[in-house]
Amino acid sequence: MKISNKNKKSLFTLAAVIVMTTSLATTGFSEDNARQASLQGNSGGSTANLIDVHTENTIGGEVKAKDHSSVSVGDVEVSGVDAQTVDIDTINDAKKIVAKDHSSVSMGSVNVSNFKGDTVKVFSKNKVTGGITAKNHSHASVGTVNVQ
Amino acid sequence: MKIQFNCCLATFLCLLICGLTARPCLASGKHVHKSYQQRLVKSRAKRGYTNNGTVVYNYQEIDSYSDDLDDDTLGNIEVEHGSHVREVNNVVIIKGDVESEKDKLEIGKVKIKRSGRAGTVNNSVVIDGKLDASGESVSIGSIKVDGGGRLESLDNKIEIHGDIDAR
Repeated sequence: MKISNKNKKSLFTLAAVIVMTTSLATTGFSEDNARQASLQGNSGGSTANLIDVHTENTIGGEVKAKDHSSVSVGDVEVSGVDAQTVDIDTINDAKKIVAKDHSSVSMGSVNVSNFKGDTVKVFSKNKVTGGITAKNHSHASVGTVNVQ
Repeated sequence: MKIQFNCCLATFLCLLICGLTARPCLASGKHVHKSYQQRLVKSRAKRGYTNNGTVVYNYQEIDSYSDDLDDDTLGNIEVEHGSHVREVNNVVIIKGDVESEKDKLEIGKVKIKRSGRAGTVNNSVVIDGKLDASGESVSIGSIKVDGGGRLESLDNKIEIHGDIDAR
């Protein structure tokens, strides 16, 4: 049996339609998928559904704080967030941190308050090669993430 | 003889031109490598680009910082309540050291007060030297967003190449 060129095209189109229908049926495009797409896309609404917070702090030398002093490098504070998802990436790198005599050092802290969403993603990478020292009523923190 | 003289003259002129063109580079201290984003902010800040008052581009580049500058707003941005600003781009580059005796030293601070419209904040501070402060508090590149209802993206990148000494 010979199949003409016209029929070949029709058969090909029919096969393509069958494949597409099958893939859609197996995927099961539901409300959940729609919500997920909306979360990722940030489209349509007046408020953002996803907040992306990225901080990167590098201190090539040593941090020394003493005598009631306070040092803050790259600290981020966000409040009143309406988004469903907050995605936080914080990367911090310092050589050495020393805090003494009632002093404080804070590096790369991320603080999100009044968060009413349902998903928090955090990636945190912190490196202090020479170590962290806090003595005599002092405080030192690197890459603290706080969502509440 | 004439050819020799002409060659000497040409060499002298070349050296003179090279010297003159190199002078501004030497005067402005060492070169700090800038990222694409930092160069973009510089270019748009230079042109005064604001997109009808919805975008802020602020670029500050200095050789070194001392209190003599008398500049309390070195890369410090504050967006007031009710503002139409949707995007803040801030870059501070200090090519040398920072020395200060101020009680409160703040460099590259972005503060957004209940604006409700801000969607993007990009902040970048580079200090190529060391930081020496004898005041009570030092804050470099902090961001505070109050009422970030439409906030989508917040990017903060701080680089301090030398030591930090606070006392």
